[in-house]
Amino acid sequence: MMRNSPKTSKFSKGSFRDPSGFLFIKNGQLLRRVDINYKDNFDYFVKSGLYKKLTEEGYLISHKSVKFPSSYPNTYKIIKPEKIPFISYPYEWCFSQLKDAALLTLLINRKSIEKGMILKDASAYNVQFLQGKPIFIDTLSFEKYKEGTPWIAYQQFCRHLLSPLLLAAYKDYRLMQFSRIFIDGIPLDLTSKLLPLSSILNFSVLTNIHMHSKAESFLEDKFVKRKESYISQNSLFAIINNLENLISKLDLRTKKTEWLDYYEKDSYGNRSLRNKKNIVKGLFKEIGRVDMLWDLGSNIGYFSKALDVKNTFIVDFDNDILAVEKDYKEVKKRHLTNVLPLFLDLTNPSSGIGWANEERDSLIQRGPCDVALALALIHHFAITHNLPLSKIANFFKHICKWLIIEFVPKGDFQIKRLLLNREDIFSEYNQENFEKEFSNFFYIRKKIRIYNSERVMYLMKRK
Amino acid sequence: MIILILIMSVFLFVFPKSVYAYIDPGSGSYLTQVILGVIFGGLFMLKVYWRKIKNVFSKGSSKKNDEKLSKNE
Repeated sequence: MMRNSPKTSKFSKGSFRDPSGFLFIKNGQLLRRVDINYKDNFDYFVKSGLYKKLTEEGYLISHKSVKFPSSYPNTYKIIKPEKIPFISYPYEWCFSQLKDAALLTLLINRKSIEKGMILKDASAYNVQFLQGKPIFIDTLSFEKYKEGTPWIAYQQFCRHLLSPLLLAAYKDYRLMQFSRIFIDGIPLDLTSKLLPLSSILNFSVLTNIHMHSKAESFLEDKFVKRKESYISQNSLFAIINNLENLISKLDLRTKKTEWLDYYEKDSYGNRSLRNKKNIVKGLFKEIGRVDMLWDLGSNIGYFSKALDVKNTFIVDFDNDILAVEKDYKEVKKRHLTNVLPLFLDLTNPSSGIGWANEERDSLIQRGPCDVALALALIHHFAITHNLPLSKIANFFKHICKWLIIEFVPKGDFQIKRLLLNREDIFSEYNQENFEKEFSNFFYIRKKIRIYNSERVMYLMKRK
Repeated sequence: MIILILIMSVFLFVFPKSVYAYIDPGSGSYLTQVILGVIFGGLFMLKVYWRKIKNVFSKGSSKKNDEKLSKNE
């Protein structure tokens, strides 16, 4: 569905399904058009006090109205939402982030019903993270509620948010990655098949997933006379209550992974670790103003947090979801407003998905960042994943303007461990080649050897 | 609760085997909400009345329960 957009502006590629308006970018600013057909709902949303209540509580993104020329077709208002520093997607969230997003959606729905509105859209993509907390970003997802009518987005909620949470809690946390394949949420019949039989003993799972899925397939070619049934407001509250109770009790069964206690194991020795921390801090200070930092292979965000910067937005990326989970819990506990921990496998980073591969951006499209931290990472790429140094350097060129990177030489205990049960075919992996390949794309500004170690820290600037 | 689970399990196995296809997002979801609305809505009302009955017999804690109720409502 293409609609007229104001000239000299660009459509936001993930915003075309909603008939109430769309996002576009003009002069580098992200704006949202409210269509004429959404006027009644939008006015009610503001007049009922719902917008004020939700934004004051920090549940919904705030916006400002922007003046626009009368030549804009079919336009009721243009609004400018508060900026989200980094857009993330459900398949990049850890379990607790997904859980918080689900509970926020339910809370907003309850508060909306109390004010005479209801969520018509419960997509997980409507939630982002701001100031360390989840926030609902779709101002046009609210419509007037008529008592007796169902929650139209209930099934979407079950697919987008409930399904991955249950699969992670009952089966395996890696199943949360299904959200990447199924952009409109995990089909309920698939969730129902994958959940263990014992899950039917939980009445809420039995009804919201198994029964719901069966009801869907039973009615797929049948006509239901909807007017005959009436779902009272109290019934909707009861359904929301039930979902809240179910979700808030969910937890991951797996508590331990290979890298979770990396720092507790003291891989470096205390003095080397302290020295490395100081080197990173020193190199970071050389750069000057940094708005966005990506810590790649951040584990629990030890180094990015050690920088102790308030004006830099930090995204911690790691492929150990339990490390991301631990990081996120610490971010919440310490009220860190500038840190966003995310799950990411750097050897297969998030790609552009959805219609024309454009609805959700790839990692590279969301960059480049000002600074990338790549500590104790490169040997995993080169040795574990057989990636040539030239390809690694080329990847970094695309994602960052500055790079703080640690070179781990062959003699290091971590590489010895990696080569314990395999043949050493990595003759080109050495410091000289590392510098040569990275020099194709970066200026090496500084290099410092870590105390009592063969490892070397580099500060590089993109050419 | 066990009886309810059994009834729902019957519902689960009586329906034909599911096939993933494009499905109208309304009908199955609507029916589920009607059923859940009746069950959870009913349970919610039972909880409310049970608390009221309990309050009659426990004067001391009645105020506390009322507060709890109004919070839930």
